[in-house]
This record gives sequence, structure tokens and C-alpha cells, in this order.
Amino acid sequence: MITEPNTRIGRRQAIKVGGVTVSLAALVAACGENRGGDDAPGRVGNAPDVTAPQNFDVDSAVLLRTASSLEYTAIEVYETALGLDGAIPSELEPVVDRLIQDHQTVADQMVELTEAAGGEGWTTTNPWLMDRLVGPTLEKIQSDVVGVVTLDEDGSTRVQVLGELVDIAETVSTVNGELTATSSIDDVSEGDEISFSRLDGAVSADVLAFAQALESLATASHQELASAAESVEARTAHLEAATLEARHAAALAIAIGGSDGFVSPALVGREVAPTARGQIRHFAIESTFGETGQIEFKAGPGDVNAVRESVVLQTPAANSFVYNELEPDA
Amino acid sequence: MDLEPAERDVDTSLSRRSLVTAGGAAALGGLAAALLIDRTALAVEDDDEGSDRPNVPTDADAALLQQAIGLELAASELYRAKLEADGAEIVDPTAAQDDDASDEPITLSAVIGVMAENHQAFAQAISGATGLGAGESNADVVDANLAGFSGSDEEFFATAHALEQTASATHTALIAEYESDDAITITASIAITEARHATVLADLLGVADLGVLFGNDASALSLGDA
Repeated sequence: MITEPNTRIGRRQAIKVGGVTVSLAALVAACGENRGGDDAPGRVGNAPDVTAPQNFDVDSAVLLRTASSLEYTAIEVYETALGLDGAIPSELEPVVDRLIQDHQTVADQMVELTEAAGGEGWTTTNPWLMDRLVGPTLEKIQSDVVGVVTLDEDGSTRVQVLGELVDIAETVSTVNGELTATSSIDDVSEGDEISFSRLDGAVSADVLAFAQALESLATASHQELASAAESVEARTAHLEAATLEARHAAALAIAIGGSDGFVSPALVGREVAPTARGQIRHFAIESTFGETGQIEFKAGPGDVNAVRESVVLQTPAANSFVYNELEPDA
Repeated sequence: MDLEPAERDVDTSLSRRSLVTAGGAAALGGLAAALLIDRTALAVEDDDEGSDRPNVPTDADAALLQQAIGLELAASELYRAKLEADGAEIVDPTAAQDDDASDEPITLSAVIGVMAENHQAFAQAISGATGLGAGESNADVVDANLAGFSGSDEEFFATAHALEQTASATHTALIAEYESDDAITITASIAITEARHATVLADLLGVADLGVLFGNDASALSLGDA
């Protein structure tokens, strides 16, 4: 026997049943007690606590102190990169020396303008950027590739690394090049991790991508500061710094991509594909107007599925301002 | 109340298509200007005493910006002359591209086309922000540079590099003169792209001197005197 579904609940009846349900829910809710509780938005997972930005005044001196802190941060990144073995190709070392010199010149000018605005010049890095951006990014760039030992279908152990399943060996081959183990491969079992050195040239490529993004960030920051500056001297100095650092960013884009780094394909109606190693491509001429939006690049090796982490740079805001109340050693 | 019939005093030589084109260009210029003039997060708090700077360009700003439009149109015209001399055309970025084309390197003509279009967009953005007409290109700038733009590739790279440096220096000098937020904001975004243009042209020219690559000793044009 075929039983047919009960089709006797009509639309009118459904509305009645629904109405009763809603009414009961409202009654129960109205009768409840202790309906207060935490007003904060719900949080899921283990994200770090939100840090409330400082509630200090923002004046011309704060903006200029922030500007000099960006310059010192760039210098710190370049000096660290020069100290990393092979991170800066030898032919680019004179360029990096010049970039450091230019950033120091701009920093000195920003300090001078800060003092002219009645503030105390800031002559060191931006603490927020160093803690939240520079430190973690440099750490990622220098970190090893991690593979995970996996059981193959035939019961043998292999290692999954950068999205590929390969035989366990001191040196393994992937589509992007060879990896050399930096941890023991003896007596490993399923679930164990094996570390490998990064692909040939990967650290250098990441450092240059970071430098290019940092120059674009400095450009965008000075562009915004030129609009925000109250004095004509500061306005002009910010625009001069912005055009200088735009030249730095453009030259680094060309150093990374050659003539393919001249113009974004998006400006001639093409898609902007990432590099073979998944890096986001940036260009000397990336947009028609100087942009102040966020700048994204990849840093560090891919995970076992070859997914690389993004780093996002944004122009200074409440959390990264160098307020007058901040002390350099705080 | 008497309603008088509207006088037919409009220029009827404008066809519907040219009206659409002109309207579209003005709208794009206005849109670009609106996007550029997004108020910055870095603005110093102006809630009580406030900045006494006006938002929209003053008459003094408008006089300078009109000259800046002429400079940008001249630059665009020069790049277009170079393309014409090379028998090349500007790539329309909104046109659908052949799938195979995405793997091909971007040609020098395409790079020149982007620079031509960028300068055109700068003029349109200034026009959109100020309400000034697009006006005409600066004939002196065209005359002074046309031979270089029409010469060999090397002459073109050198002349175009010098023009971009001059344009960037001119905007940097003008930013000190402006009284309004909008004039300052647009000028900053233009000068930065022109510095990027200059760097590409310096690379094409084979500049190895880092002082030339990153510096700019070009003199600003005295547009205010024009």
C-alpha cells in the first residue's frame, strides 16, 4: 500500500500553528528573568582579545611622529634583511643602501617638522608595527617548510609537503624545486612533522615582496598625511616623501618582475595572476591614481596544502599612531 | 504664473552620441574625483576649533587647477602622438581580452597607452572635482616636447622621463599653493603616479644612477603665471 503524505494542513492552518508558536515564544521570553548578560558581540574560536585603541589626542605632532616612525621601521627592515644570508641579492645591495639613506633623510625631516609643530621628535621604529607586523612577518619568512608524514594507500609512509605527497628523503623534489630536510627523517611515523629548508630563492623573494609592500605603504601613508597636514611645510614634505617612496616601490617592482613589473595587467583589462609560487604580484604602475587602500602580499612557506599566509599592510590609524604620550622605550 | 517657452539656445551641433560621450567622461571624472576625495582617516580632529580649510576648490585653486588640466592634457596628447607615430593604439581595458593574451607580456605600446590614459584621467578628475571644463592642452608643453616624443625610442624615453619629472615637481610645488582639501588630495594622488611613470621610463632609458632614478631635480612649471 502506498501511503500518501498528509496534505490536509492548508496554508491557513500553517499560519495558525506558526502564530501560536511565535506567541508562546514571546510569552516565555517576557516571563524570563536575568535577561541581561554580556552586551559584547558574540565571539567564536580562540581569537585574541580585542585591544581598544588609545584614547589620546591626535595633533600635527602625532602625525609627524608617526611618519618618522614609519621611516625608522623601513630602515630596521632593510638592515635586518641585509643581515640575513642571501636575502638581498648582491646586485641590489647598493639599492638597499640608498633606500636606507633616503628613509633616514625623510625621517630627519619629519623629526624636524615634529619639533617645529611643538612636539618631541620620534627617532625609532613604530612599536605597534614592529610587534604586530614586522616581527611576525620576518619570522614567517625565515621559517622552515613543514611536511606531515602520511600513510599512503599501500601502507608505506610518505610526507605531504607544499600540497604534494612525496617519498621521505633528505632531499625531496616538488614542482617548485627541491627541499632539504632540516629535521630528522629517521623513525618517523604517521602524523609526525618533518621540517625542510625553503625553496631556492624563496626567502629573498619574500623579503623583496615585503620591501616593495612597505615602500607602497610608506607612499600611501605620506599621501594621506599630505592631505591631513596643517602646515604648508609639512604638506609639501609629505608629498615629496610620497613621490620618493613611490619611486622606491616602483623600482622594487621592476627589480622583482623585470619589464613585466612595469604596469598592472588590470590597467589593460587583463587578470592579475599570482606567481608560480603563489605570491601576489605588484607593479610599478598599479593604478591610475595614488591609492591608500590596504596592501597585501604573501610571506613564508606554504602549508601542507601549499596555502600561503597573507600579510596585510594598512596606513596608520588609531592603533598605530605614535601619540605624544608614548615614550620610545615604552 | 506665466511660463515662457524655453529658448533654443543650446549648441545643437552636439549629437546624441557626443553628448553621451561628454557626459560619460564628465561622470567618470566626477566619480574618480569622488573616490579620490574620500576623507582620510588621518585627518587631524576638527570637531571643535576645526580646520579652516575649505573642502571644495576656491577661486584661486581653480585658476591653478585649470592650468594643471592643461598640463595633463598636453602629456596625454604627447603619448598619443608617440603611439600614432608607432602605428599603435590604446588598449581599451574594458574590452574583453582574448584568453591567450593574458599570458603574453605587456607591450611597450600598452605601457605608453596606460600613461596616456592616466594623464587623461588626471585631467578628468580635476575637472570633475572643480566643475571646470576640460579645456585645452597646454600648447607650450606640447610644442616643447613633441620632437622628443616623435623621435627614436631613446629620445622618447628621455623626453617622457623629463616631462613626468617636471609634472610631478609642478604638482608638488602647487600643493603648497592650494587652499582646499580637494585640490590637495587630488594633487597628491596625481604626483605619486607621475613619479611611478618616471621610474618606469628611467628603467627603459637604462638609468643606473640611483640619484637620477630616485631623485627629481626637475623645475616646476610656472603655471600660476600663465
